[in-house]
Amino acid sequence: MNGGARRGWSAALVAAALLGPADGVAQARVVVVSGLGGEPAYEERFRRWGATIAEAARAVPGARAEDVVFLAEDPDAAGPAADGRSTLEGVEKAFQALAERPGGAPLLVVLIGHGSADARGARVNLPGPDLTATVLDALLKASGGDPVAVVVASSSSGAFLEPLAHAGRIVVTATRAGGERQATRFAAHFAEAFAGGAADTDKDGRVSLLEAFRYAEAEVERSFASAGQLQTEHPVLDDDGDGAAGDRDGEVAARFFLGSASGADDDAAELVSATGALRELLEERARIESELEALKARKEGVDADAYDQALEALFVRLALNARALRAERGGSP
Amino acid sequence: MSAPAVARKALGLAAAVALGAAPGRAGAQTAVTPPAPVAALGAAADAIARADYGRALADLRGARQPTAAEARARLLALTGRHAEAERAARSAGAHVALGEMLAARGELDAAGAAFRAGLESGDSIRALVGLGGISERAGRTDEAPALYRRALSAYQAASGDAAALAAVAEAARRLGRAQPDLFHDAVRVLEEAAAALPADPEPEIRLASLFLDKYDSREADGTLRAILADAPTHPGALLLLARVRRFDGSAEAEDLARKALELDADAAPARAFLALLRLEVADFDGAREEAGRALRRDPLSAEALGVLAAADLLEGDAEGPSRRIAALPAGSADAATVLVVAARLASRHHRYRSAADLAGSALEVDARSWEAHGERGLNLLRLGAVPEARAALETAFEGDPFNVWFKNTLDLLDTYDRYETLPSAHFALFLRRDEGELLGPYVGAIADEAYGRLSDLYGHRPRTPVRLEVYPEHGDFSVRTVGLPGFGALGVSFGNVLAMNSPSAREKGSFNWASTLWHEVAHAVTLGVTDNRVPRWLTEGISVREERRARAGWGRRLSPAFVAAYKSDRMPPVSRLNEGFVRPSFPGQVGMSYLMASLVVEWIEDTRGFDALKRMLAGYGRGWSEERVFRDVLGATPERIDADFDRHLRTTYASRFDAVGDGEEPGAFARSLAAGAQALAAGRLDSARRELERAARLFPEAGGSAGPHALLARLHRRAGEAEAEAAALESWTAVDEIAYDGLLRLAELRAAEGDPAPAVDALERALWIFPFEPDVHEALAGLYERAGNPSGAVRERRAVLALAPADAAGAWYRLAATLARSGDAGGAREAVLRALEIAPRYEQALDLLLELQG
Repeated sequence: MNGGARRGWSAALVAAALLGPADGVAQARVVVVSGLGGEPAYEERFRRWGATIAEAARAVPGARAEDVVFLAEDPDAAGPAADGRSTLEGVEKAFQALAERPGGAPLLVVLIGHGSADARGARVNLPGPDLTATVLDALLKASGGDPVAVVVASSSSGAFLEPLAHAGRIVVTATRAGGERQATRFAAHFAEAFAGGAADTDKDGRVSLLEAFRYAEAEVERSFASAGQLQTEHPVLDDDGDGAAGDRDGEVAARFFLGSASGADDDAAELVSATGALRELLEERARIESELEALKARKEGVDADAYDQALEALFVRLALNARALRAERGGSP
Repeated sequence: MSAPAVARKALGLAAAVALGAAPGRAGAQTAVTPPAPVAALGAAADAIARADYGRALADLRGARQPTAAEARARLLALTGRHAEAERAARSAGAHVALGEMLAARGELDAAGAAFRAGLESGDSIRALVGLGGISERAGRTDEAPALYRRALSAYQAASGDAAALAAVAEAARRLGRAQPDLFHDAVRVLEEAAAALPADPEPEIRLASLFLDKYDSREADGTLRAILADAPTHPGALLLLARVRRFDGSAEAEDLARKALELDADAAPARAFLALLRLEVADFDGAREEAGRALRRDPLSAEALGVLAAADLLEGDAEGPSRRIAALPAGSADAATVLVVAARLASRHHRYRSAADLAGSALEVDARSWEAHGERGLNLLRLGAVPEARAALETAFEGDPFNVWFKNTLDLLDTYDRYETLPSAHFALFLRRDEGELLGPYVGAIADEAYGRLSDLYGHRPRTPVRLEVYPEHGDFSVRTVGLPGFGALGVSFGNVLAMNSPSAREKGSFNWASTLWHEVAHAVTLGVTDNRVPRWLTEGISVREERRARAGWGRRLSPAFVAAYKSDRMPPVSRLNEGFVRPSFPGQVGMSYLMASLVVEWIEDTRGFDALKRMLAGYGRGWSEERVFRDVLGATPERIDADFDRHLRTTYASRFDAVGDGEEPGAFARSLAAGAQALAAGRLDSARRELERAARLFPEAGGSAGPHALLARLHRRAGEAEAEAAALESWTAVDEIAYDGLLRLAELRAAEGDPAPAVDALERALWIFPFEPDVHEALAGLYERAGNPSGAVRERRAVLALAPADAAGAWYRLAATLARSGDAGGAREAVLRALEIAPRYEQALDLLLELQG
């Protein structure tokens, strides 16, 4: 991808940049489902949030129309963004279509709506029969996605954590328990993470699932604090398969992008295929970054001015390297 | 947590258990004042239970049985027939009752003799406690503990005797001043007394008194209301309930105290309490009169002497307190009480230095007066002497571990290590660390501006640095102010120490922190210029007036609710406006009193010139009475001022008075507003427009998100009328200082028009309401850049960073870019390094770094 295209702040550009894959990497598939609103205000919100995520996914360069499916309660109201109605049957059909395609691509499933949890299990409310955790787990297993990330952004979604926990699977819920029953805001901020540039905290031009989660988590907390309200939802990310939030969680999600499964692999892949000056520049960048990491590790023991001077010297080298890389790749330096 | 803090926690818990576990209090169904077995009273018992004391006295006429005869003597005293009561007590050989009657009149020697006779006649427990009390009051304080200990050791013998048990409890309470654990025993024994004779409310009243002493007014209130439900004229219960109401700041306190006097018009405790109430509202003549009546009955009444001592001091007689305690026997323990009462009243009138000094004098009399230690500590804290205050409060709490105010305040002081002190030109800003970086620049700017403007205006510069404490938890601010949670105000000024809620302490849009701060700085000036002698109504009136002068939209404005209250004569006249602050008679009256006071100030300024305000302040500063200030400065009597202001208000705002209804009947304004709101909700925009515009014309000062201007803005937005919407938002935000959403929308509309200045203005005003939204700071930074104001943009970029944004690298980069554009290459370099430290491949930041290399 052309690095220059990652600049700029228009929503379309940002969406494209944040979700963009490295060339030649399998395109992620995305299923977005906005469930039963129950009243016009929620119908509109769920539809809008779902559409934002779907449109961001479709804006990824190289994304194919069939890779992104958006199901809404009222597809007519959702306009061209929607591919069908978010009934259980519609969801099952969408997964079936995914399963029929060649495997190996990352899969992101986002469920937006009201949910509930009781002794019979957790569910997301859809028009007609609800989608239960058990059915969702089965659909994910049969999807062929690799890796699989599922975001259940409904009320009571914490009850999905345990049933969906699976080695290598990323599970995000809007609440930490089934008992958090209030309508949630998580999906709004999760959608924002893909629609704007703010969630790309490491400025590598893409939003990882971990970045999107952290952004949404922080904004949920801030929105409750601003309103002076008690926080009624506490988002959770689990990607170590234990069904709960923990210190080890986040490693898989940090490498999950809509365009490719692993950001680190992008560098390695580029290095393998690079030759000549480009290869030298990439190797130099790796060396500078390695020196940077070493410097940062020593930060506590170094005088602040001396640290900044050393940091500046390294970043100047990195900046020059970045310019040269851009020129080498054919962009403007 | 420090070791004392741990001990405090444990003791506080113990106190809560001990004072909270008082079973059976609500079960008191009947009221029998004299502590006597019901059987001995015969038919009188029922009458006493109903507080029908006339009937009870008739039933007890000629009673020979000792208990019944003593009950009769006590009833006579209770109903104000003191000579008869004394004769009856002597005739019945009721020595202890006689001693108590004499002691209540300050005849200590005679009372002592009566108690000694009681001791010889076998009524030893009550007599011992009575003697102990006399010893303390007469200056033989060394003798008292042994007497109380003897009473305490006779506890077993008191079993089943409610009166004797109550005396044991009193002994425990008094010894508890040196041995705090004995308060548990006092509570337990009072409960036992209540159980021994459920018909006798005395132990319950004493329990209620204990609760009130420890600032638990709710518990005391429940107990007393249960007693008064059966015996509605019980003087002791009425007076204590009056004290509870005073504690709660209710205007009912005075009514209840007067009701307590119905049976005995000169009862010293009730008269002394009324004197206190009068002085609290700065009615010096009334206070002196009531105190005088109390002292005619009991020349040694500590409360009455304390009120007079305070009145002397507040009216400029610095020797008054010494002279008042000279009326007591040498060495009397009551001297400390007199000084503590005076200290509290001085504090109530903002004379914190005097209060601390009076408390210090009390400690010279009685080093174990924990109240004095506490009072000294609290007032030192108000003066900003935190370490000295803490030491005094630690001592107070060690001696009185059940005092909730001391405990809460010490708990608050324990949190001070989470705060930092940031300097501004005139202030020491005491902010919690997690808010300091964000709030410091905004709070410092407003505080310094207010200091400069107000000190120039009033010709007085408060001593600097003024300490400004900003609390993110409203409960902490409340404890800092009144020792308990639940204080309704937003800020407080102790003179050179100000405390207020942080904007994070309340829901977004619920108050304007900047106008609150301006208000408190105005207090610092008016308190300073008068040496803390300014009356409450004037200092509040000036502060609100100065809010309105400072910025468009700030400060209270005439409201339909105020006009309705004024029209129905529910607001006091100018000369009694203090009462509206100190003891409101209906919900919302305090807020309306602020508004009215500001209108009085505005009227004085308009009719007599601004200089009249300064001369008024100077007069109060010289210790002039209100009457003299009115006469010499305003040229009128208080009655004339009341009448003139009333006429002014009704004339100036005649149209608003006409538009607001009488009583339950809504006026034209309310009808139009309701009709407009209804039409808007139904989508009938033409009708809504007509009604809402009419409502806005009828009462242009009406703000609120459901007010005419806000609804008109909504209507215009729905109709796509951007310019009209902006105009309605301007009108709304010009009369409503907390129209946060209105200001954000106004900024959006103005920004779209091209010129960033009006949008900048709207967002700056929004930040005075709630500065915790990163998006608002980002937007304002952008507008400042468009307006060519790099320093404003830099401040806003730093504010975003202080809010710990998710996109920290982006925020650092944008700050760096702004700094670079403003020519601050060094700052830009530092900021861009912080961005790159987080996001090393951040291309824009890398490019900027290269640009900065030159």
